[in-house]
Amino acid sequence: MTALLAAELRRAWSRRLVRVVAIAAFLVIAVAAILTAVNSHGPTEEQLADARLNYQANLEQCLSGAYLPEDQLPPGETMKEFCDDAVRLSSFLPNNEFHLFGLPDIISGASILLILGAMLLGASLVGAEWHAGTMTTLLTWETRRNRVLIAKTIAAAVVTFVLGIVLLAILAGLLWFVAATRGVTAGLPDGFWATVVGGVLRAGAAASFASVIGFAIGMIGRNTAAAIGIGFAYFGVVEQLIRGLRPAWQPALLGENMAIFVSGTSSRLFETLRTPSTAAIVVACYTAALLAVAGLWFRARDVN
Amino acid sequence: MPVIEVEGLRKEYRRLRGGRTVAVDGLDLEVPEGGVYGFLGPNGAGKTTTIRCLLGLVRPTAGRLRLLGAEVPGGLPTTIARVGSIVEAPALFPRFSGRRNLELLGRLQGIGPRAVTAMLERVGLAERANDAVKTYSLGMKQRLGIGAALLKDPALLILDEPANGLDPAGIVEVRELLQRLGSEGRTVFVSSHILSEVQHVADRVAILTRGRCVKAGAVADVLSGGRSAGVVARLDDLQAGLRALAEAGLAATVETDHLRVEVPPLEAARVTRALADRGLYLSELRRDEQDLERVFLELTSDEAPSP
Repeated sequence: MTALLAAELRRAWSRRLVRVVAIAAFLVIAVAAILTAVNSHGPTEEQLADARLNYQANLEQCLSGAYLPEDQLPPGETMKEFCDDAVRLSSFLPNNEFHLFGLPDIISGASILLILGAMLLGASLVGAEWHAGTMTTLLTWETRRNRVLIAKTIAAAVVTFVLGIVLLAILAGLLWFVAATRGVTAGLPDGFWATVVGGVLRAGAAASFASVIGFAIGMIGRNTAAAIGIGFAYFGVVEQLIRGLRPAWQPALLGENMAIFVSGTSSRLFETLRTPSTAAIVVACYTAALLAVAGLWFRARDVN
Repeated sequence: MPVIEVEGLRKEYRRLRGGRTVAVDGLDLEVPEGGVYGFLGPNGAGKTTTIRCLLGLVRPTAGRLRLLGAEVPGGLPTTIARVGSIVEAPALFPRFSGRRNLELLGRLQGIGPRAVTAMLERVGLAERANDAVKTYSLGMKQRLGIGAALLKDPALLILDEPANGLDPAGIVEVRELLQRLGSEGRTVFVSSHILSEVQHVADRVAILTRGRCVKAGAVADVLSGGRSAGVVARLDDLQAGLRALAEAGLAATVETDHLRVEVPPLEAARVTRALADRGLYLSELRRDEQDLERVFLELTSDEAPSP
């Protein structure tokens, strides 16, 4: 099994699409960082000092309950957490500089693209094998289909997780550099970097889930394009219809749970409060169910 | 011990618009250890389906299969390391180099890069080893596929149409390779619809048509097909020749433009003497050789077109 897994990892890393996606993503990140740098002009010392005074005054007001009484806080949130989020130094600065405070939100936003890319990679990893007929060759070397499925699933998950984390780490690093040289890094709340690291790790995990979902659909349909089509039809049509026609089902939707998991913030879905960890469990259940169907299908069907 | 045993194999495929297609219909087959075994049949006879069943790729509708003594598919994980195979065209990653493709497969059985290099040399691809497979010619891809099948140093090789798409030189190359492999003590089970390709290398053959085995055995036995040995005699006056041979006690028949004389080829002198004594002279005298193609066509002549 170790040899099979090692071979699958090598095979996955060597795929041209993985490299193309990685390079394309890197270029997009680099261009975004350059544009941010070009458009960001750091505040003067005077503007910064004024902003800090205003920020401090507003933060103290908020902590005293002037913004929101303690009994109306969102469940599970402290007054400090609420105020760290509600009162930001960037709000008191002229709007012409990049503030590092926004990095976690940027990472959350970038995660959407990462998830879509991971789904494409997962579907392609297996779809290409069916297309080229290499699955037949592989099965004449390892006949235990469960092992083949598990090794390929792990390879897809690991490749997208590592790729996702590396890309987001590059994004965070470049934006920190832009903020440090041409923007603002002051006024970051306590545990800012822990929040960033948590966001990156959650995005990497979400990419893994998405790649396994893409992989499972690709394995069932034995085709990359079909897997991508089904994935986008589900997210673009089925979930939209459910949101409109059956809002009470929202807590069960994959998209909603993925979003909550990536954001790391609890949210109310219809009447249900969904925490990031519960959302992760729901996403994992979807992934496992699809993978189980793919496994049964793979075992039962002839390889012609 | 037979290396391949097939008992009552049947495989049906469901059609999308209803109904079923029978690809293999109650096939029995026994392949002994060592040498080259030809598995012959026209396109659609069920050769590839049988091979896919043997390798666990396709689930039989009915029947029992054993490979190197182990049940298929249950025992395959223990025996597959000793079985090398190509099913239809060798399927390898087109954008990876030949070396990388073999290394990835070899890794599954703990086969290292040194053995891969040796194999690439053996199949004549050492110079192109680092080029992408998509740049290979059909013959090179076929050779790489054979290299992949041989990489396990298998006791049994199952090759499905290994000469498909090859030019004449490539066909000769594959034929020589099969002969060499068979003489090394391995069993080479090779399917083909190109009969001349197999006739020269196989020790035994099975002929398949419409999913059934219609003839199996040693090549010589299949070729003789119950017919006695004979010679072909060509002369101007066939009827006169026929009478002369009958007077000499030699049985003969007129076949289009020649006579077929029922006499062992080593006794062909009896024919020349009998005819010359009566002033009849031969323009040609040769051994009446049956070829596999003729036997095959006779055996499959009632074949309906494949569904």
